[in-house]
Amino acid sequence: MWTQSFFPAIARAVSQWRLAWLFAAANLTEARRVNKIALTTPFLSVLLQVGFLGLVYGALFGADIKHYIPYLAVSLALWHSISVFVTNAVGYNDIANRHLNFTTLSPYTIHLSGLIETILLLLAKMLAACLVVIAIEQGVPAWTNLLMTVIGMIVLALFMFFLGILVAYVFDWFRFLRALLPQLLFLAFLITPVIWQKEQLQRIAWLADFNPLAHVLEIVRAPLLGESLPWTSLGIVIAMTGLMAVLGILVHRANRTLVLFRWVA
Amino acid sequence: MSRIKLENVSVEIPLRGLSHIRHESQRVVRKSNGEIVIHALNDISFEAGPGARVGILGANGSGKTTLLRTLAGVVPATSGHISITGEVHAIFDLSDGMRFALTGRENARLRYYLLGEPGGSEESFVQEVKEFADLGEFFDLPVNIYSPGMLSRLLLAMSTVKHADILLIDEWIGVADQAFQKKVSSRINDLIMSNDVFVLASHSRDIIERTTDHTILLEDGEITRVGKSHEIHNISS
Repeated sequence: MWTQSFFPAIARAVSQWRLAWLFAAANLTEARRVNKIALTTPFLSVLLQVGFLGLVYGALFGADIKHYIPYLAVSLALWHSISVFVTNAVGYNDIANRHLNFTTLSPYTIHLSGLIETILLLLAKMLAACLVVIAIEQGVPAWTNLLMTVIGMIVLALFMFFLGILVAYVFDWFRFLRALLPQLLFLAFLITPVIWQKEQLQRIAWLADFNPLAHVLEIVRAPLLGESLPWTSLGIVIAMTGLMAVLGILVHRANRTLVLFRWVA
Repeated sequence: MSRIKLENVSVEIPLRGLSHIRHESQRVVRKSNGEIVIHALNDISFEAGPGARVGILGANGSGKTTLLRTLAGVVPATSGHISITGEVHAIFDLSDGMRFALTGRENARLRYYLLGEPGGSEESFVQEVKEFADLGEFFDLPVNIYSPGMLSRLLLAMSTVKHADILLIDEWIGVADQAFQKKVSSRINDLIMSNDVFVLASHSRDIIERTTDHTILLEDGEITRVGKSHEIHNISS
């Protein structure tokens, strides 16, 4: 199905949602059987990290723990999910190549299954983050905030889907980047408001606004923490998603060549 | 009416990551943009209509697999025209899509959707795989504990359920288990008979002669001879 153009291939991938779901479920089942890692692991990891890191970083940044811990819980849940997704997306072309002989398979069904898997992991992490928010804020967020959080997550999912297509292409074309991925993600982690808050930059807080990832986190984090939906961030993320879709069209043919003809040396 | 038609089809395969070649040849060349490519297929033309049983015979590297993959739509033609009428079922590598930590049943379910939901329900597909593979209770155990023979049974069962208008097979399928081999041969013969067009690529003249009517001889990516399969022993390579 690599002969299809971009949007028909996307539409076909969506029509193959059942297969994408089975792929994602198969990955989780394999992880559970081989490594004993189930969805409880990401759930517990958020609780553990927030418990240990929250106190340490809160003290380090001189933050108000009551506000900082929920912020950290939601930020870590989101960041871990996005970074795991990017790490997996690097190998999507390899997986697509291994399934080339299934001629009805859309090239983007693999991407969709990766997204489903990430959403399941994100939900497990967000559940832990929500428990932290409820415990510390001593109440369930208002339903309007929950609704806005869901809207933010839908936009985040679309953003990640198109991001995955570009990541797969770029990291396949420039294969040396694969070795640098952990460092790149760590750098992005350090310059993005995940463990620190934008306000802590004080006079240069505006710098964070130039970091696209800050907006990506904000569209889910802000409403869940009781703030209103950040429309500017939402607009920026939607615009970035549109831009990535256009770039996806542009690289579709070149990406097809990368998937069909792998490196021989 | 199912039909395959290739007109002057050529396929180039880029050798990504290769920066130099010691000797250029007719097939491995550096293009003007510096890219090194293999001329995998060159100027291939043939047509096969309903009832055609076509064998593709050739040595290693002659282009048999590339030709089948081109017919399946996996590899695009660099030039020429391909016309395929009818649904294609390609059996290339039986272990494609296999997940070894999953059970036989889970793999069968996954295969049903990987094959594009072939006719019938998921349940009937899984049931057919289960009955043909005849693995008993192992069908519900992870595949990574299967013996090689059991794995072959499952792979063959999953790969031969689907019927399509055009069947493409890369090398004849065999298993060590004699009793099961009979069952497999019978199943594949049924599969061949139920398809409008059948194309088999193989090294083996005997198998080509036994299962096809016409044979195309490929050498270095080019068709060098076309003839009736029963005369195959007279076709020199």
